[in-house]
Amino acid sequence: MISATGTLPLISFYLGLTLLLIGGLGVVFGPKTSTEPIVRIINLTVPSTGVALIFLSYNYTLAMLTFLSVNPILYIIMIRAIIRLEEMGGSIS
Amino acid sequence: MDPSSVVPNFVPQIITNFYPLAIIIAILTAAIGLSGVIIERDDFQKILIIQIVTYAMLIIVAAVGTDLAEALILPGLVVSLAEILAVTEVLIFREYIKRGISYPRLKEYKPIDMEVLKTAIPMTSLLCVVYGTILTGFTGGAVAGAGILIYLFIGEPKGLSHDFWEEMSGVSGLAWCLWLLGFLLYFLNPRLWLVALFMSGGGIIVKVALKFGLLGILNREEFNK
Repeated sequence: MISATGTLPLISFYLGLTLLLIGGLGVVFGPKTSTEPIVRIINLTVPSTGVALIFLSYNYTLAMLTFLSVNPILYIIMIRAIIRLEEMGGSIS
Repeated sequence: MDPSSVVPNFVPQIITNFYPLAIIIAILTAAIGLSGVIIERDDFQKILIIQIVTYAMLIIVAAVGTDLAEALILPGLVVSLAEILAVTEVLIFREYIKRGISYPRLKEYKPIDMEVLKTAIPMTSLLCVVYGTILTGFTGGAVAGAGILIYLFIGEPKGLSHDFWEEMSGVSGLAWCLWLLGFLLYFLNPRLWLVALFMSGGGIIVKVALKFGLLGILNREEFNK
């Protein structure tokens, strides 16, 4: 639950929403994303930071910790897939 | 739509004020992500973009602001992780099939020859099992299962039959039934709460501990042990 007073939850909430929206735009329409999947993964860290900030503002401790620990595993899986697909020779699918 | 009709009454006013903004931003983000899925041709890139939609859905669930929302977010995170793992594996496999290359099998693991790995195994696994039994529940099951795994994989016990792992998963299924029965009893006859608690607690520890038998089945399938 959000504490009823104090501006810190408000700041993290609005910052989180902004990061989510801008990061989403960056992942989908960002420069060089269509040719380089790794740029897309790097851009994906921006909206994930936003989601973590929103969880922080709602005081979801467990959800935020799980989210933060799931994210690196996610990046490892994706980068492994990129390496495997690139090893087979350039263009993916 | 009045947000106070959606959010429960005991939620503070500030969350009720957050609700419309969070929902609007989440739906906008999801629309951006889905439009990206339509534009993009590459299958693997689509998976990366779908992640944005996942984040938006997380925000929609989180906007309710109760403990139930947190409880719903946790399995969503883990399930999305498993889903990404499975889908990328399928994509890699498909590429191998397309190019006519056989999928490389896992390399056989050879343990390091250390004195500690031969002598300390029974004691370590016994400690893990005893500590897991004291903990009980989900965490205890994981600890006890780790102990059993250490003994079975590194200790190399003699005389394991071929059907051993299947028997283990069978017992795991029975323990799960015990867990379900415990919960059912809890609702049907609340005066028997102690029996129900012990049934479900004991059931979940056995179930989680023996779920590690799945790794044993994987071991058998991959290496034909």
